[in-house]
Amino acid sequence: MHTHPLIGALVEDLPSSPRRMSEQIRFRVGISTVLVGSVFYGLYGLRGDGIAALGDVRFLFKLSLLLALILALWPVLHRAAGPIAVKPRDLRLLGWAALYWLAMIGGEAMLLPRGEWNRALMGENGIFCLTVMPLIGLPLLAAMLVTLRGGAPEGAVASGAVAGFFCASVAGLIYAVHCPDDSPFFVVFWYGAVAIALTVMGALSGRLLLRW
Amino acid sequence: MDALKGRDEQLSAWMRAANRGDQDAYRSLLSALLPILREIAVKSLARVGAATVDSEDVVQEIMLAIHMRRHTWDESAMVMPWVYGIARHKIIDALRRRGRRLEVPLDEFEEIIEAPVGREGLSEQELVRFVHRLGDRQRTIVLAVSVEGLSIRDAAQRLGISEGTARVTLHRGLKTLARIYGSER
Repeated sequence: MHTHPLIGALVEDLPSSPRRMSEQIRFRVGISTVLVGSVFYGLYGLRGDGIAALGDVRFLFKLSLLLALILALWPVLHRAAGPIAVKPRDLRLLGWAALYWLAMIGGEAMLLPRGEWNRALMGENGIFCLTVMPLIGLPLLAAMLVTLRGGAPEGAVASGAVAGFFCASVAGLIYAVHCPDDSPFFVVFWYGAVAIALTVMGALSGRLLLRW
Repeated sequence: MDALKGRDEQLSAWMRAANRGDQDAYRSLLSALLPILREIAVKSLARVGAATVDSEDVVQEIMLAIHMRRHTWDESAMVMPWVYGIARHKIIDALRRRGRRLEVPLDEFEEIIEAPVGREGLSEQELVRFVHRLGDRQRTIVLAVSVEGLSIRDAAQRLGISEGTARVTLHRGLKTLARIYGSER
């Protein structure tokens, strides 16, 4: 059987193997999170109550909300870097994360007297959150888009959106350690607004950058 | 269905071995993919009414894309769905570059086992045309290791350059090709 001559060239070039995509993602997410986190905590510090916050159940629940999102998006992010389009079925974990969010919000609604809902929702740092979290998220998103660009993303817009949502979740986690507002009401409202913005930004820049 | 599954497992095993640097396994993989890709390209182009587009060009673009993006395959999954994804992407891309915008359904690829479409011959002319826009040096290396079938070492010796330089030049050449066939509109 004759083979195609191009195969010879590709076989000879095999040793030039690029790093596995999953390694690249892990590495880039790790590095950019540590870098951005250091800068942010260097500038604004941790929460006033510092380590004591770890004894605060509401604080831990807040972190768990963001962790749940990050874990649910992790496999989707890998999918978004490859040539097989992200399908609704790939978002199953995200569905579970959404249920967890709903449960937390429901719990808060039951525990908190009605009169305090508004205060919990508005918190003390809404505007700060709204300005600083995108600033944390943007460098993460840039790093992620560069990484995906080196992959083979199918569906530039969807892949960019996934990257944006993921980076918003990581930015949320970084910010959450600083922020004293722990109510799920606050988180879903303000963090949610930032997540929508970053997801849209990811989708738009994906459209431009993720063609290959 | 079992034949398809067995084939997928064999191809996936080759691809995993290739990721560990096994060049023979890589050659087996690419040789086995070639007739499948030809079939996919010919059928897809015919179906969207673009039979005039040279399918062999498209096949070469797909092979190159598989090579340049091989790090995006998830080793725990089967390799064929990934290959189909790349093929579909490159076919749509090739059509777009030739001024057409059409959807190519992916699902039907999965029924293609291996039915050579009446061509077995060496595609030397096609390859030569495929690489004609490379610079002299890169083109010479690519053609030496492909059409002439030299090893990198022999090609380097003949050109009087070091093996490392030859390796880098080959890689840059392939990368340039991927760029020419990837991003130009």
